[in-house]
Amino acid sequence: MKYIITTLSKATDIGINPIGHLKKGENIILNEKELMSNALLVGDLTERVKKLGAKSYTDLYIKRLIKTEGYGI
Amino acid sequence: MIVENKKRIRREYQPLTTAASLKILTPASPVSQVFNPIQNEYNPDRGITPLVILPQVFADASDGSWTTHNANRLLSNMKWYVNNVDITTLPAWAGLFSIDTFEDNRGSITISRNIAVEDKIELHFEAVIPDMRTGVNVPIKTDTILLSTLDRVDDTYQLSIGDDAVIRYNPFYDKLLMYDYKLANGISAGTREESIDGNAYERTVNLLVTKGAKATTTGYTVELYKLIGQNKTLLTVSDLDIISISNTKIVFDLRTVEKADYLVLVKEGAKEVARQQCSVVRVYPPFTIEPLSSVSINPGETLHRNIASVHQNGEIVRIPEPIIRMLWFTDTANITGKEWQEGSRTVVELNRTGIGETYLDDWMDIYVAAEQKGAFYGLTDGADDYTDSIGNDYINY
Repeated sequence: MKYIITTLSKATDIGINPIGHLKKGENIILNEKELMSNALLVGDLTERVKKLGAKSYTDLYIKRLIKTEGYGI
Repeated sequence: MIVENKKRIRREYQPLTTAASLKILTPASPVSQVFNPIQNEYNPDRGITPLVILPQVFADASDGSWTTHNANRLLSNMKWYVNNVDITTLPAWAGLFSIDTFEDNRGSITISRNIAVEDKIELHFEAVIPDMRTGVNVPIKTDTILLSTLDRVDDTYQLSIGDDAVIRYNPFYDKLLMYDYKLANGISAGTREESIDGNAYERTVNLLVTKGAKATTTGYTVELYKLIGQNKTLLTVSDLDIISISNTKIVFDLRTVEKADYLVLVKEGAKEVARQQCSVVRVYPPFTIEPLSSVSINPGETLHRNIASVHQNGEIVRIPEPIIRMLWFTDTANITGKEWQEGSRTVVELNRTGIGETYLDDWMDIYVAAEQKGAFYGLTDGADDYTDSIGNDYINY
């Protein structure tokens, strides 16, 4: 599964409740399933990520990022 | 002056009715995970996108004296249990969960722990609601929810319910109830279809079943149970609170439910593959009632007519009969508490009220005792249910 870092405002714009998500400043981490089940986005994961102006990461990479950058609830 | 034998008189309140259900606030991080042994990854990984479960707590009192219906913000002594052990005492969970204490999400748990394939974790929540009216701490306990992880090889079922975990039925807003009453009393009622909305007693709860990533409507069966304590009873359409059950929806008749907890099971053959819970509670909002007319009684009059004026939430309740039980009374200098008819209208025979003809006793107080009606019930002779000629149950209130 891929994980996506986007901004809080973009996440709430597509109807995602930020509760329970890891955040740092304006950034928030979502998972692939949240984007693929979102009715306001279309296309495959790459297209949906692009539409958000966000980036997707692997499980391993994002875990490292969470540690080094200090993401929290 | 001597004061003695003082007596304290208290207000008397009806006890709280409570309902608690567990609601997943993070549908993309559900209770089930999939483990990929080749990549050694959990999907989703709760360390990255945690699971949040809210114990949705609802409280009400049948006398309308309780106003905080969404009662999460009042919870205290909150504890989550893992397989019946307080989660705070388990080293394996240390630092991998947090419990929210903020307002409407008070009590929700955020879980960052992944569950191993071989583990079966049952979670439940307990707390109390301090009832300041009665000085009692009302205990709250949810049913359990299972956290599990499956090997990637399996295509797993998941069940989502397209409604709140706690369905609140407020008869004051039920246009379908009014439609039925008008139709039965020969009053112009419009169409039945126009009367069915999200507040109607006929409530459709949509079921979304997915197998793997795809939604499906075949290959499984749906069973509905009513939970009573530790027991569960299988329901069918012959039960008054169920209108229909299919693979895609359940239609409830909320009129007949005071408070009930339901369990929906999805089965593939005889094997349970997914489950969800929901609760139904009847709401008792505060209302006011008073006799509309206060015109004087003229000499020679033998009858007094009056109508009850009912208000709820700032609106006039034009037809209160199906919702409120109303009983008329009069007091006079000679007879107090004289009981008259039941209903929104009364005709009082003045010569039976005890009203006099002198300035000392030529008055009469008229008033209405009222209470909201509880859940409706089926008529039965003890063995058989009464039905009409085509088998519809008679439901009374």
